[in-house]
Amino acid sequence: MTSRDPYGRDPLGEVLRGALHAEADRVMPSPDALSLIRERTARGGRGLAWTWLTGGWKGPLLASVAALGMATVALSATPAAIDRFTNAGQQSKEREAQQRKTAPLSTNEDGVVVGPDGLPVPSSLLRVMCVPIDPASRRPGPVKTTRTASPQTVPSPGPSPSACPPSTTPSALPVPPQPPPVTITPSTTPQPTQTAAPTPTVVTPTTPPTPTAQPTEVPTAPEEPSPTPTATPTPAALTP
Amino acid sequence: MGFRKPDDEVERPTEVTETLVAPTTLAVAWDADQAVTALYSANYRSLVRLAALLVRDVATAEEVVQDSFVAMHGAWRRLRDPEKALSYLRQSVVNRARSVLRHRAVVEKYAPKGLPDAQSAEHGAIVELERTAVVKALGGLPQRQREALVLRYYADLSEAEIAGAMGISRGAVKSHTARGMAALRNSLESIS
Repeated sequence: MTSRDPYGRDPLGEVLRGALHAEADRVMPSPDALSLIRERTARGGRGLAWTWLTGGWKGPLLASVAALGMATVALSATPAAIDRFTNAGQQSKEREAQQRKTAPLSTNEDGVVVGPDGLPVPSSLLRVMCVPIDPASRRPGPVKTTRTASPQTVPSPGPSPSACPPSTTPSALPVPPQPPPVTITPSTTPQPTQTAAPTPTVVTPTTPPTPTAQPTEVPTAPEEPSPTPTATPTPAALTP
Repeated sequence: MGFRKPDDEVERPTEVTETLVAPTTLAVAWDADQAVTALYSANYRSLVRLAALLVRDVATAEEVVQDSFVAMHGAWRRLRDPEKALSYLRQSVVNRARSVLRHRAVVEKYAPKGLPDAQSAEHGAIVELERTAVVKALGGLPQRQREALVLRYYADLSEAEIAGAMGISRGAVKSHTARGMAALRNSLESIS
């Protein structure tokens, strides 16, 4: 077969055209195709919405914007930022632990020592510290400063005054070098669970000895006239 | 049978329901459902046959064309023009036919199963053999060359329309067509 005849026609093209049309004429589409299409278009709301969202120029635009954003983040992130991002969870845990350390503790109605989040604090994290207080200054409240009758104003570098034996409970949490006298306020209505339960860590001295040293970092005005009232701040009751 | 556009009143075949095809002036006001109906009446059969020549399976060809109509219905908001819609349909059919062929494990598994024609005359038998040989040789061409030849010699599209339907340049259309014809010629000469 030649490509063109003398009249400029393409015999192979004509043969091909005839063959294609003859082959195509054998194909008879089903008569119910329109109803199928209408059914699909009627129920295709979600698909059409997605098609509208990603169709045409919107799809490539969305893909380009997403790729550009990812590339910008990847290229502009400093090692410190990456480290901060990857250690965000660890830092959050550490921060939460630090807040638990410094937040004051309290006791619930059952006498269980609870943290600021309302969850009971394990006894292993508690340190029993006995601080002599003046019975006359006992007042209800979770934390209370002690007032002593001794006129000492020089803080003692030694350990906190305590008539109790040193606590043997291992504490994983750091203790300030000079912990202030911390007391769980001995309420006028003693709570039985503080002494009966195995978890209580608060010991209420009934006859506190006279302390030998009292830190006087922030003197406050005495509530009652005393020779040298020294208020001892207690940043945290039962500092773990 | 070439493609008939919705506004092509003169060349429209008589079997098409005339009331469903609106003139061009009113076509702009079509909604998606009306566009589907009108374009279906005017072009569905041709599109199915085109797809059948590409995928060599009538059932798959119908699925391809129906998918294209559904997609056109969803894209009608930005088409709004029968001319664009027909081009969209053609391009969608070609693209979906490519996808079908790409995912088909065995290409010749779904060869067209046409109804056997009664060959009452010797001439008819010769012509039929020739057509069968041509179609068979066409099926052995690369996909792009086959698309270009089908769109040109069956759909009677111009180079620009073929380029739009295939998503390639007009130069590429010329190249695919020339190479396809040369390969087809060589194949038929080797058979004869």
